[in-house]
Amino acid sequence: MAEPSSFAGDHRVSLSLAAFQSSLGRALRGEDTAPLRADAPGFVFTVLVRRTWCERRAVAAARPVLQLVALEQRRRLVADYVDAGGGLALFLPTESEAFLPFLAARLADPSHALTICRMSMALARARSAAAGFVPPAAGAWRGRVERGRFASLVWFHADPALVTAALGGGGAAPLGPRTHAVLFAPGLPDFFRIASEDEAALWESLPASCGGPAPVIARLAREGAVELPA
Amino acid sequence: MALPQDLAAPSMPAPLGVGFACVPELPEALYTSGLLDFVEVTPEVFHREAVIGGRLSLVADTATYDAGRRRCGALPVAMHGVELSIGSAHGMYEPCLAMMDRLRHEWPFVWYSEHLHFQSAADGNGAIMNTGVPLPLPATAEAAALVARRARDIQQRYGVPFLLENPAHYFSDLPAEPEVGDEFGLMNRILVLSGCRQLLDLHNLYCNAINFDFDPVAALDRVCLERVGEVHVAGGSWRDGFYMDAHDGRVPEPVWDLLDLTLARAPWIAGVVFELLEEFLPRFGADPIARELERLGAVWRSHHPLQVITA
Repeated sequence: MAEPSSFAGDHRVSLSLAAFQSSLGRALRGEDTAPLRADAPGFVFTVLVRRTWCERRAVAAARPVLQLVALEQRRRLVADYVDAGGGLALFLPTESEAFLPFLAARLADPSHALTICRMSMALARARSAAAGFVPPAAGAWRGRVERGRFASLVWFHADPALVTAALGGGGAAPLGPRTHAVLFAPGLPDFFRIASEDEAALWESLPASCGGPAPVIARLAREGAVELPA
Repeated sequence: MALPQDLAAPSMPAPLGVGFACVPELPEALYTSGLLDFVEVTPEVFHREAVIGGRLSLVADTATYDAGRRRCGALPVAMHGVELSIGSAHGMYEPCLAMMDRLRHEWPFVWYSEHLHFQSAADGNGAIMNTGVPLPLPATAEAAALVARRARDIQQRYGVPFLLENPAHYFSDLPAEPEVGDEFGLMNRILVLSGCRQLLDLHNLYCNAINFDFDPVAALDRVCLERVGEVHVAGGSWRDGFYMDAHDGRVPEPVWDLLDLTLARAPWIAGVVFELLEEFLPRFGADPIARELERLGAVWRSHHPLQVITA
């Protein structure tokens, strides 16, 4: 048995710490900069472990979306994302912020997976603004209405309850025309609620100038779904 | 191996006993059953990144943060950070320290530990890249001095013992200077220069011993046991000819043996923790966790009879 050391032997130091770390980090992502033997089993294995960690982070960052994607496509999407440099964030919400738009650009439209992807992004955006959200003061109305910067309207192509039930192991809901609109905004309890037909129509028409603060606009403004620029 | 004591450094608290991670998803009974004497909190789990006032910060994810605090109840808390990257030459991940500044008041802790590794570096184009996996430091005087200076500052900043955990890795040809030697020499040099303590991860030591073919029992002689303040045990698994520190199951028997030897010789250990990655919890289950904690408690008590008598 060797000396009690993981790197006993003569391994000369030729690089500064910063240069060593930069070279090693770049080599692990595939650049030809390895400060260690790149063909050594330990190096090769570390590349593999790194890849696994990146893929695992990506999967965790978009689990509900990927659950609704066929296994082969799921593997390809995750692999493509990691190949493009994804899977490296220190925090899961940060990883989600990067991976969900990547998925949204590649998922079939329409599909329940895309709906859940948009929903996840909308939820994160609304939640991120919740702490600093202050409903507009009464009388701030100047006749113009815009979509809230942290609000979204997501269309479902089946009853949302059925789509989300599929995430919990329920059967897949059939994909139909867009029927249910769900509103996401920082001032809503739980950050979301079903939108009425009037609200969905209003949302689609924004930005717009309006003659007066109708009750529906006032309510949406209080929820952070629309903004009334002064 | 004996090192000079740093009398100015904060002392470890009186021995606590057995600890486990703060996992709100686990049954509350696990935390109130008497199996645990303290909780090891990984604060990053309860935070997310946010840009506030143009600066990257870590903000509490309110729901999980509150659930985590409730789960700890009245048990003492030890903080075990995972993202500081104390060994990065370009700089540490500073939002972690700002987070710890806040937690010191909001969620007081008896000690703070981090990993002796780096996980970010300059990418050659003027930006900083995350490495994707924690990576070990070379055994050089430069690395030791850098980490020691930071560790000493952190210990002073929080006024509680700061511990560094020995890593597992797979590189057999890391650079090493003769005066530092190897991973044990690096850790010991940092402990001397900083006045900090070691979190001795026995499973990491065991992994390296298997993968690099050295005797883990003999390696304990290279560890400065008087400076060990906490011990981790865990399970692992094999992949592609390497034994991985996967934290995915029961503690292997040789690691239990190492624990027994360590507790017999290390006088200032305040706690022992069984580690299990959260993603393996559903498969592993609460009952097997309880059984590992029971065994950990039995080993601990066999080395702390006074604690048992005075309890």
